[in-house]
Order: sequence, then C-alpha cells, then structure tokens
Amino acid sequence: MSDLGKRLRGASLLLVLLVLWELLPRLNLVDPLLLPPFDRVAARWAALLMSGELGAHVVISLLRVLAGFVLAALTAIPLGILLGLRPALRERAEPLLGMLRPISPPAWIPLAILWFGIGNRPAVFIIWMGTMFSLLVGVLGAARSIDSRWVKAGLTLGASRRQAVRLVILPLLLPAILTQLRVGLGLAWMCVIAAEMVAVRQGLGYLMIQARNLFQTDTVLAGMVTVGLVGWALDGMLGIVERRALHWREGTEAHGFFERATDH
Amino acid sequence: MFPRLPVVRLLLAVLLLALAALTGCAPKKDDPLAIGVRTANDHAPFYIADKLGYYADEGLQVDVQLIPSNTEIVEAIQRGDLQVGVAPITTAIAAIAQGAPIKIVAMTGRGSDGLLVRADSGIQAIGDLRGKRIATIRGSILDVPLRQALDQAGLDPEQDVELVYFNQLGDMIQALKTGQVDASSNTEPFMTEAELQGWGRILSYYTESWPDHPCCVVFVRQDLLDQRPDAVQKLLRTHIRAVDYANAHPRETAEIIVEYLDAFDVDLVEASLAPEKMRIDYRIVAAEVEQMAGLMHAYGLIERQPSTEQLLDLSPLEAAVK
Repeated sequence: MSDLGKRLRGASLLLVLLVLWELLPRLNLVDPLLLPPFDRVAARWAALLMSGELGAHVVISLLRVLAGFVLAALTAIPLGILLGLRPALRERAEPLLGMLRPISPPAWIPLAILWFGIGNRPAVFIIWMGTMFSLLVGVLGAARSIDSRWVKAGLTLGASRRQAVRLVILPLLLPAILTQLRVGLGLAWMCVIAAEMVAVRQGLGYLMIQARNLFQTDTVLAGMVTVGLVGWALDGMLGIVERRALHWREGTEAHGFFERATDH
Repeated sequence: MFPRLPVVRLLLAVLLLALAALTGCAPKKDDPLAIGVRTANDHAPFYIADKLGYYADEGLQVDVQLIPSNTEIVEAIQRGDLQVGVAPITTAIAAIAQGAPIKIVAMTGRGSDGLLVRADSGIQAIGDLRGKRIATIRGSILDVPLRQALDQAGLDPEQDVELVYFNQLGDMIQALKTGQVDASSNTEPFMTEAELQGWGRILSYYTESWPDHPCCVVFVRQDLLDQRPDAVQKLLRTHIRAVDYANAHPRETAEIIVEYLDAFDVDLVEASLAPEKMRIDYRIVAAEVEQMAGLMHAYGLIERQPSTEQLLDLSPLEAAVK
C-alpha cells in the first residue's frame, strides 16, 4: 500500500464521520442541542481562530503541558533507570508506585490548590502527576529487561560504572525511553483539561469548561477538535524525532513486520 | 472490502445505540415527573413536598432526584431524562440563550448570595476590594450579582479587581481560607458556617445592591407545558404549598434540609434561613428575569438576550395561585 493510499484511507473514514456529524443533527435524527452540526462547530472554530483567542489558549496550554512533561521526564527517567537496575530499591518502591499510578489527574485538583495555590503552578503539578508515574513504570520496565550480559561485557572490558551507564545502558534504553516519552507526551496533553479546570483564565481546558457552564456546546466541540488536532501534531512531531534518533537501528529490526502480516 | 465484518457490525450497533441515546424522548401521559434538584437551601420546597406527601395529595407522581451540579440538571433536562429542573436563574437563562427548549415557571428563593472574606482581613466594604483577588463561578448566580455589586461600588469587574474562576463552592472556600484569594462570592449555608467556625466574615449580601434579587427558579420542558399543562399546574400548587410551609416552619424546614443535604447541622441551617439572609418564595416577575438576562448580556456572559416569551411562561403559576 502506497503512502498516498494510506492517507486517503485515513481521510475517507474521517470524511464519512464528518458527513454523518453534519447530516444527523440537520435531519433532526439527533437533537442539535445535544450535537450541534459540524458546520456550526467549524464556524465557531474559525471565529475563535480568527479572533486570535484560540491561538492564545493553545499556546498557554502547550506551555503548561511542556513544563509538566519536562518535569515528568526529568524525574521519571533517572528514577526509572535507578529502580530498574537496583532490585532492592525496586522492591521497596513498587507498592507505592502501584498505588500512585492509578490516581487520575482530576483527583489531584484539591491538593494542587492547597499546595500550589492558583494559576499555572497547580496546573503544571497536575500534568506532572498525571504523566510521571506511567513514564516511570515504562522506563523502569525497560531498564529491568536490559540483558545483563551487555553490561557485564562492558565492565569486563574495563568500563567504570559511570561509563557502563553512559555507553551501554543508555544507548540500549534509548529506543524504549523515546517510545515512553511519546506515550508520556500524549498523556500530558490529555491531562490539560483537568489541569485547567481550576482558577486559570486561559487555556483550552478553561475555554471548554467555561463554555460547558454556559451550555455553548459548539465551543466545547471546537475545543475538543483543537485538543485532538494539537495532540495529533505533537505525536507526529515526536514520531519524527523518534525515527531520526533511531535511524541506526533500521535494518536490525523487523520494521513493518506486523503491517505485512496483517495488511491484506 | 470489510475483511473483519463482525467488528464492523459491532461498531455499527454501538453507533446506533449511541444515536438512540441522543434522540431523547417526549414525556408520556402517566409517567412520573422527573424533577432534578440540587442540595441548596432554597431547593427546600421540593424536599418538603416530597417528604410531606404533597405530590400524592395532588395525585401527582413525581421522582425528585438530587443532581450534583446545575450544569448536569440542564443537560439532563435537554436529554429528556428530567422534565422539571431547579437551578439558579442564571443557569436557566444561559441554557435558554443557547436554545434549550425550557421555560421558567416559578421562583424558589431570593437572596442568599454574597461576599465572604477572612475574619482577620482588613476589608470592610466592597470598595476595599480594589486590586484584590475574588473567587467566583463565571456566569453563575454568584457571579452576575457580584459584578453588579462591584459596578455599584465604582469598581470595574474586569479592570479593578482580579476575578478568579472556580467550578466548586468547596474549592472557593478552601482558597479563601488558605489566603489564595482575598474574597469569595459564596452562598448559604456556607457563609454562615464560615462565620460560626470563626475564620470567615460575611462582607455583604447582594440583596444590598439588588434588593430581593432572584436566586433559584423552577423550569420545565416546553413539551411538558404543551402536553401536560395540568401536571405543571399541580406541580406549582404543591410548590406554593411547600413554600408557605417553609416560611411558616423554619425549624422543621432546616431539619428537612439537613436530612437531604446530609451535611451541616440543624442550628446552622436554621440560622442561614434568617430573613435578612434569604427568602424562600415562589412569586416571579418578568421584569426581574429580564433584568438578570440584560446584565448577563451586558457582562458578555451570553451572546444574545432571549426574549421574555422565550424565558418565561407565567400562566401555569397564575392558574395555580387561584
């Protein structure tokens, strides 16, 4: 299947859904109050975009998400590697991680206000909490599964512990870390709505929650479309970074194996 | 074309189910009326009518449901899960401004909202709030009278103070307590509770800037008005009876409120029902609804101001009073 063909197939499903989205409320098969037709949402989206309002919300949301995501990466990657390589520490940390990870981002809101007041800091905190534990568990799992023979070989050949981490462990972990970061960025972006539910005056979450309170469903949907588009773009960008960084692996991996096996 | 037919069929089935959920349904004759209320002092007439069997006296089958938020009450009424809702007048106006097929038919209460500050703060009058942070819920019944009170004190709500938007009363109380905001627009019985606990002080009630201002209202789906006008009239007769009971029996009313809220104690709720704080009432005047809608439009909270005919239908109440 050619690249263009793949894109067309992706676009066709989207197009079908958009047509349904327009027709069902227009034909009154769905109450337009519950689902405003696509053209009304598109008009609202365009109006928000042209006024510059939407851009400002996107930028501030992106900054919060990036701050929370970078904090999560800076904490989760070293901690994950450490716990992955030290079974004694890991055994002590695992129950705690197991309990903290399932706490959903909105559950942190009351504490975020108490600890960080109002404004950007609690929002960044919520994104950090919502991203870090999953990232940590992912990196930990990868670090755990490193074949210890590689490390032993390095040490036997005269590497110091520090060199073993830098020259053997990190390169071995890089693909897994990049994959985890990509998943993590998606998670961080998903947290943005929860993070902006409280005491902020800008951001996509703010836009959507204020619109919901005043029953402006077209604005809510315009916000959701924007969240989806930006999330998609972020994922695409990290995908490119991932492919560039892992260029050296090509040929050594069975790339596309699955696609060939399932793509009739 | 579709190599995994069962999956496609399953998806289609799910899609159809989702559509069925979005189509809503008209009320049927003898179905019990589903009424959505929240836990608030001025929703008491509905707890009273439920508890004291007033609905049965009218031969009316009702199902009074406690719903967590105003937004959810309107969403449920739009879907048709509820036929009657009780929520702040601002919520009803915002929904009608967006085309929700509902009409306001009666009031439940007046007043009860105001500004809360910390007991140890130096804020003595609304004019002292210049440059301060004030917690509010944008577009709500805590917000519109707040903006009006600020305006009257010579403060521009967007320029001279910093409005901080919240979604939950509890979060606003917490933020005020811990000093992250200087004042909070709030309501009863939370304000009286803060004073009784010693840390809070009621700066003023919005009844000072807008005497007897409307608070919560009763609204019904248009199709209920069209198809079962007798049921709406009976509902309003029980409402009037319950309002009269509440005003005549504050202690018993406080006891019933506590039972439904499952929070606070009877003394606190009775104190918060004092006439200078709030008033339970069913009467409603078109002019005050128009005034609220006009303010919401002026403050940019609704894009267009609905007409009086779109907002209100007072005929069932007039019939019920007779």
